[in-house]
Amino acid sequence: MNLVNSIKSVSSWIIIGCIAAIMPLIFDSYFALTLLSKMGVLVMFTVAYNMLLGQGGMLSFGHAIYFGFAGYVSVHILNGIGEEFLPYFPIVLFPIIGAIVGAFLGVIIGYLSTRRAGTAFAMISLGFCEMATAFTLIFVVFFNGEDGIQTDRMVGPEPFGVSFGPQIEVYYLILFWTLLTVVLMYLITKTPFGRMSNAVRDNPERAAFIGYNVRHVRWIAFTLSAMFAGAAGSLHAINYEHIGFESVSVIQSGQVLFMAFIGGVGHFLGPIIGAIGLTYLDSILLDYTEAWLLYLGVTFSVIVAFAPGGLAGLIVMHGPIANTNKSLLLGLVKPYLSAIGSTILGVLGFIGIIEMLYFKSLISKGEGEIIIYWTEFNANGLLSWALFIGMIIAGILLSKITYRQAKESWDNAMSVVKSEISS
Amino acid sequence: MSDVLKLSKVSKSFGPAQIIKDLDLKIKKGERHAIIGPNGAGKSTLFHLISGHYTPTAGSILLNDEEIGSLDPHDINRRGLARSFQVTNIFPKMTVAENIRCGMLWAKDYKYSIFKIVNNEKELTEATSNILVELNLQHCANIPAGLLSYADQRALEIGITIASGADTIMLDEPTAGMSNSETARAVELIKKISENRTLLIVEHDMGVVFDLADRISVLVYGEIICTDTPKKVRTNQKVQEAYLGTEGH
Repeated sequence: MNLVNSIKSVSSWIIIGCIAAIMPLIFDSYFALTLLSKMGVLVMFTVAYNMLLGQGGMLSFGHAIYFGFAGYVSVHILNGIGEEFLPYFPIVLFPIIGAIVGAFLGVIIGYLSTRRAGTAFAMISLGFCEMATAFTLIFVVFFNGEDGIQTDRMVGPEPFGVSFGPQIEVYYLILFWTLLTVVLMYLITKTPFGRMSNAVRDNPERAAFIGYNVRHVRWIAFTLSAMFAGAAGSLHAINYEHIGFESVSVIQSGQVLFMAFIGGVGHFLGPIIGAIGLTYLDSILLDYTEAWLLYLGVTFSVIVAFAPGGLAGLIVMHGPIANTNKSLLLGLVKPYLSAIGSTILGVLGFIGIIEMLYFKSLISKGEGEIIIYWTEFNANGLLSWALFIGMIIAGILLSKITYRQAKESWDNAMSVVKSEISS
Repeated sequence: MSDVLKLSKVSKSFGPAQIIKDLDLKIKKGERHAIIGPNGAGKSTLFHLISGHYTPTAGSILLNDEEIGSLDPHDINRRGLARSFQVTNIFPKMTVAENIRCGMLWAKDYKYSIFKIVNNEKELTEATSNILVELNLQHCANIPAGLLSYADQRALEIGITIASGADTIMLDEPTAGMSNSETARAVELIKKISENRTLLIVEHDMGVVFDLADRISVLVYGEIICTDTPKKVRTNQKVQEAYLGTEGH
């Protein structure tokens, strides 16, 4: 049984790896390749962050410190090798440098901040992040202020003809490290430390009374999380051949928090879903709308308020149903589709209003024609506004009915599951 | 018999309120010792002091002749003392089996290891299922602990406490809120698990106390007014006054 399970989990990782490996062959534009590279780095960073937030229950607003500083160190070492005052070090192994930098900072900052959990921990992390950002702007010698530092990753010999000049080679470098670290981080959740990290998250008091020093558990989680974040930071620097102060800032820290939370912090796959999804939307939607950050903020708020388990949480809540009686899932399709339909109606109305507001206040110079959903609307006419407001109202009213139905059918399915388990 | 626990002149104050006053108490190795007393007498505070949740304001607490008064809960637990809680205190999101397993990780020397996969540790799995059988919870091993019935959660609470294999077990009102039949089952379980161990128990149900205890200490307003066998405690003048006094109004 154990063997079957481990073969199953190993093979699912291999499948994921293979899919990621052939992605650049399917989407072979330069844009797709840079997007995929960015996704890999952020998947690694977000999963590392979730070791802290999801697995350890520590909300950090400053995890970019480890990511960014590791990036700075990597860039300096790359430049040092390029200018030949440092000995050659293979690019392939650079994430190890990042990991060391991350772990080093994690040990120190973790020691100072894991005395307390909850709000105090979150506040301290924010303080450290502000401090780190200030450092980058003050110590110009090392951080070069707002400009950041450029580098060239094509240094030293080219083993097997791999120079890491072409983006595709960097993508495979990122893919290799992302897969390796994500699998390692997954395995860590199964170790005594990993289990106790969850235990401390759920009930620190009891964890202390079964012999665990709660602070040490948190400290180790903090250090490991910072270590993997550092490895991701190294790859980030190699990928862009540049590092700037924003990579240690609260903005970068907030981004990783958004990704983890929207994907779902309660499940290992959640942050992966969040990182891939948001990186994709971020790159794609930026071209279409000025209001992308606003939509992101609204999405985040809605998830926090109504689906605190994130996207993964919504999927996982169907696990018991799928395990006991798959035919029950079919009964959920119709109520779910109507709930999704009414949501989309309301969301389309909301986006319409926001786009017209943006258009009128920032873009238009009096003229009214605006293209939304491949259709021309007149932002000066009442009709367009009435239409979108009507869609919002209809969406809300319909949602009231369809959401109740969706919830009821889920409740019904679960009660069937419960009776089947207990019988 | 030697004393496993020895409290001398222990006091605990919260601001001006002195909850425990110059308390002396000796628990002998291998005995089942109950602490009874009216509400607000300081029973839970006494448990918190011994287990390290609170630090005594004054006095000394010896566990196997070693001072533990100023130690943290995890340090005391590592010295072989484990406790349960009055309000169920488990890991609700984890499965029942995982709750037990967590309880034994430190004692079995896994500590903070990141190089072992817990599911592959045969000895751990076996020890866990042994305890589950003892608790009669083997049928719900893989259910999240939060979904168990109240009585089963109380049993799990005891299970986590004994999982570490501690020699000294402290149970805080293990049968509170249980029906008669559930209480009877719980008493059987407590008898079973306290064999070859020292048991210190706080309990309101006098039937349970007189059934279980070798000796009883009566705690009233932070002071122990009597420590003796159940028979003698029952006829003790001071105890009767204390109980009638509090029940009288």
